[in-house]
Amino acid sequence: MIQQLPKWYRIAAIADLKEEVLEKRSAAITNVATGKDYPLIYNCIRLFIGLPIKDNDFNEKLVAAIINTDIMFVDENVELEKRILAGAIVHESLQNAVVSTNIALSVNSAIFGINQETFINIDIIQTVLDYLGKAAQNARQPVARVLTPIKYTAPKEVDITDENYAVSFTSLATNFRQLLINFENSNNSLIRRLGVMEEESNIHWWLFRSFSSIAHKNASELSSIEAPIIFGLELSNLITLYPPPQNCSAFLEKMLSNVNPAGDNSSIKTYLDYAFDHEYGSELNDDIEKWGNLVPLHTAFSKIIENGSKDGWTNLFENSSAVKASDTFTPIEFAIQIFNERVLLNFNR
Amino acid sequence: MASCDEEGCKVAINGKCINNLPLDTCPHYNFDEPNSNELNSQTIESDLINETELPPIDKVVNKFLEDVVDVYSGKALELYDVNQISLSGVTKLIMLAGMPDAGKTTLILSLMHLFQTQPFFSDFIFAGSKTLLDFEEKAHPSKIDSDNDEPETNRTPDIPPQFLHIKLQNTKSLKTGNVLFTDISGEKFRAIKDSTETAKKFKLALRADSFVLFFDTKRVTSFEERASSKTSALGILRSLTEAQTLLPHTKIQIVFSRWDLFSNDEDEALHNEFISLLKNDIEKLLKGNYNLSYFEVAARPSIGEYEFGYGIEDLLKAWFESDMSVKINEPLRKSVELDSSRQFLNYRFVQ
Repeated sequence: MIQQLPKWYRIAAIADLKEEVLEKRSAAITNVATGKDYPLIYNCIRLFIGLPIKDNDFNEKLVAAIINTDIMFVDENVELEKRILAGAIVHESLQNAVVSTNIALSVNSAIFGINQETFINIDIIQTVLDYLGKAAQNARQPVARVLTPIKYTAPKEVDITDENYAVSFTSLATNFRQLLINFENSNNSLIRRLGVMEEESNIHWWLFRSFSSIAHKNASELSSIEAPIIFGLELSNLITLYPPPQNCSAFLEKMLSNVNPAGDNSSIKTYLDYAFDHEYGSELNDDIEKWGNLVPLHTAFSKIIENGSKDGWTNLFENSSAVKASDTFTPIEFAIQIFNERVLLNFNR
Repeated sequence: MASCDEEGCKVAINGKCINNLPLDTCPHYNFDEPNSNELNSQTIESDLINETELPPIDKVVNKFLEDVVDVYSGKALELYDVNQISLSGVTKLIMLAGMPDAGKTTLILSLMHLFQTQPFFSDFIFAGSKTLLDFEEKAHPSKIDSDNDEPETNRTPDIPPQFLHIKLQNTKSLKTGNVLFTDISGEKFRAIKDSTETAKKFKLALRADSFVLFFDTKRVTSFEERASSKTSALGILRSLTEAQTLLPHTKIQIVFSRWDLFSNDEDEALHNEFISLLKNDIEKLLKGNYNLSYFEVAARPSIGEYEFGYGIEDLLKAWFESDMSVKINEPLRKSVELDSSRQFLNYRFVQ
């Protein structure tokens, strides 16, 4: 049984659920989370954190997937319970190696701007964020080089017989095979080390240069409205290992410290309308069909493009999002979100 | 549909005749006259079903179950009923605790009355209840129709916990949420006070969003009764906290009920001093670990200038803090603690 399930149910169950019921629910959750219906899992993220869901059949699919394992589940006025189950599915999907990084990056991106008090079982979101931190560190740890010693002794001339030759050749072949494995291990380890160094070096030089390759300007020449988007995009392009380091927000802060004046809170509309009027905005025009409102700022920008102008797109956006176009954010908050969304999109290229 | 005239026969449910007779020979068993639609469908099916064949029993049972309409009795909910409400949406559990006659039931009846007699109360609109009948029955002795000389509230019997339900909508956020009030007898809380074992078994308190502990002001301001009143109520709190069935995520609200009976007392200064000491004792007991607040309430004032439901509005706001969301969230940590041998990963920007 999923250990935390009784705790997650506490918000919705005044009377404790029977262990038998919890075990069945656990089995159903695990089956969905480790299954291959990935769109269903992404919609579970939306349900869990309270985002609008585009797929009208989602409820039926979720109920069917649960009932498939847990026939005792009754879909009758149990909206909060389904939200709890969706959260548990998100949590358990971190065990699904195929989608775990995508799930974690999606949650990290999708919670942008949502009032934390509206979350239920917030420890699930914390687990996802911690997972990203640990996975980022693991991705940058050097791989231990496993080199098996090779031992081959050629037969002495006096011992040469047909039989000894055969044994000797077999031993030689085995040792060659091992040598190749050793080379490959060594190669992988070096590639990993090289990747880590390359990524670190690129970020270091980006910080040191303090120059925007997208805007072709010094960082200090950028305004506080354009800098967050440009820096978010640039840093995300320097990431080669996923998930990205947890201290990327510090790199963005460092770059934004070059911008003068630093700038106050601005609304999503202000940031994105400005981007629409400038060349760097075209970088935000990406294929987000699969991700939708899990990448809210890209969704908002796609609505401006869809609308063809800066007027009248906010309603289109707000219908599909949990945040409003008028919600305001500091330059660093905005830069981090652009970066988070971009990392998710780049990871899936 | 099929039915049986014989008293106690459950043929419609289990398909067995109470007299063990074959259904076609039982004189009490009968089918209702089918209506024209049913006749048409039977005509169509007649090709498939042998005329002498009886309808399969599972069809009879299914038809019976289809006709069953789930109707709420309107009575107070039992523990096994409440999940039907709480699984549907955000539900606040307000636990009303105190010794017998402390005014627990009177408070919720007055709250209900306030919603019944005005379009909205405080920031909330009444949006329904599944225990309306129970509210009415409990409120009856306080109404003129009861022919009682004074408004009264019957004692809550010492039975397993029951719950009264109200659904409210916040007029500002337009969010709707359920509220469940426990209706538990004072005797149960007396048992909890006297036994930590009983307190340990009282798991319901673990889920409570608010634990409202009542002190009867009449007793607190009576020189004869104030010591025992204090000991009893503090004993409830001590038992539950020691048994760890009342944890810091639950807000504790201390209510001085029947506050109207205080103000008319002559020894006001002495009583205020006692109440101040009482508050100190509560704070010492809880060691600053709980969200604690105090309220003066005159739910149904009999004397003085207090309006009906005095103090309830503040209490209602404290239960919801002007929001319908359940606040049991710990804030998200902004970043994970960095711990790596690589200096690069330990970089933090400090301005």
